[in-house]
Amino acid sequence: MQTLNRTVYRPDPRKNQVMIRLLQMILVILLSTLPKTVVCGQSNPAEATYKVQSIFIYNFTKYIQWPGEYNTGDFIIGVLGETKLDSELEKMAAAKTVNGRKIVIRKYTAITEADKKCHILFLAAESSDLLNSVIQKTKDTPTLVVTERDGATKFGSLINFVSDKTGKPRFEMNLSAFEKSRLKYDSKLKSVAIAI
Amino acid sequence: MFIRYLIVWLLIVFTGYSTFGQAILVTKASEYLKKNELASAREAIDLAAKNEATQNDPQTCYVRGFIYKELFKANPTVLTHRETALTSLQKCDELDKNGAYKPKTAPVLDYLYGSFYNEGVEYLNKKDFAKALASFKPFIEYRTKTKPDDYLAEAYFNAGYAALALKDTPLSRGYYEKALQLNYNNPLLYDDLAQIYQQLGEKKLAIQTVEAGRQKFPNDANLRISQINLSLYLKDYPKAEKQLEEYMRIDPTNIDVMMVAGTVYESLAREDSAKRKVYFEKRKMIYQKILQKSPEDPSANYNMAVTLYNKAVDLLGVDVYSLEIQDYNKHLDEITKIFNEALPFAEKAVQMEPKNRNALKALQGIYHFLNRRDESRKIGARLDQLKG
Repeated sequence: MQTLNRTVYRPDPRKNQVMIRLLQMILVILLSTLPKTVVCGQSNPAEATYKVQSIFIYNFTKYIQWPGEYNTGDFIIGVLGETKLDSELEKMAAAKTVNGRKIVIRKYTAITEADKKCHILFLAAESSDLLNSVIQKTKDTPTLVVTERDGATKFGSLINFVSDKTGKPRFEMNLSAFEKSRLKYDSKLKSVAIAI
Repeated sequence: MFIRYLIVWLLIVFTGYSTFGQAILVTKASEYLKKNELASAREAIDLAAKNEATQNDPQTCYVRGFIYKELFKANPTVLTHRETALTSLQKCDELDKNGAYKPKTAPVLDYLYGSFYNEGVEYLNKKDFAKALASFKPFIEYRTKTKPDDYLAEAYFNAGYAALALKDTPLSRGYYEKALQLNYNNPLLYDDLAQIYQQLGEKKLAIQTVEAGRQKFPNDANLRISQINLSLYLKDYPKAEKQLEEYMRIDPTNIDVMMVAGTVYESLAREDSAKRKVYFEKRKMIYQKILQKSPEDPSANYNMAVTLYNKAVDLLGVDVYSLEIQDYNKHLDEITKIFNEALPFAEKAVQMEPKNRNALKALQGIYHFLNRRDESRKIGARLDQLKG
């Protein structure tokens, strides 16, 4: 008479399976409940950086004054070059206004496309070689040129996003360029900037 | 070999194909069997089984079933022997009107169907779940009619497990419920079945099953975790927290328990925004504890990095647009500090698990925020490589 083999000799695949399930559960909950985190595989690694820049740009609209003719109609923020900052700016534009004026985000692939009346023009780091033509194009207009490349203020950028030694996002203000422009800034803005 | 055939054929010739002669063949087959001359026994019984005079005699069918069982036993890879044995024994039962052969066929059938069970276990161990299920099925069918004992309960449980692995939830549920009816004594049964009910949205049954399991196996870790998971699933967060704290009191140094605690606190923070900060601190403390015990634990490093990362990102919520520039500047100090705090954990998690895409993405995001763009790009390239 044959004896039935009890399952005691098997290498306990279920025990491991339970452990795996436990770990999966931990990750699944993390992924499914934290949509802002990069771990979900959908968000952009630069998302937090774009958010920081978008909040800074919104603050520029609060602490910088444009000349009279620029204080009517939509408030135009142009984005030139390869960046996804415009998506974050769109979210901001949907929720905020500038003194009751609608914020409009424009994405440009060339400086020639830029609106004549552009309040802020952001130049993406990857397109920094266009800085000269941007400065040429905006030199007689009160357009706030914002960049994100080390040393860009030396070439005429008014505001340049940088980071300090700890990695904290900050911005440089080109004070002489501000003097030449028709833009006026609040001292509160200068107090948190790196003045150049 | 030749002599063996000769004897069989001489028997046929001398007996002149008579009924008596065929009966002698059955007797001869039994004699060969007793001497363990299985090939001769098979020849003799196959001849008897083909002859009209003896083919419908239950004795012929029984002896044939037995001989083929022995052949299968000698060489279990030849499954046709088992099939022939089962067919013969089934025929014997049909012909045996007064049940005289039943006591003799039962142990042979037990052996043959038992072999299905053993095969099932072997397939289960090899993780060939389809074959495991196919093997348990005939055993279950037979044992249900003959001996509904603990082997049957275990077969139901194993079949349920195989069906679950094959993602056939309704089939798995059926088998598991049968195992439960037979009082199969294994906490995993309660654990799995409760999760099946949970998946199927049968909350009441899920609760009942987990509670029954907990009562029967109060110290089983998996059932404790399942109970907490169930409370989370049912959005009964205070209960989940209470169960978790009770569990942590009993087993305060168990890393698995602490990992679960981290997850529970995460869920609690999500649900109760007023206490979000409290739960964030609790979660952080839990991972710190794990990392003190096991600094190389990849999951703890990863979870700690993600906890901090998410905290930093949370601090960049919509209301930040309303902050005054100076307050925003201070706010960025705190955010940067948290990203810097997350960095070594993300680096460690990637070091421990270089192909963990989620850990790589977390690290890439942290590097990017801290303006370490070259390092961020390198991680991006590694992620692209993994994609390919």
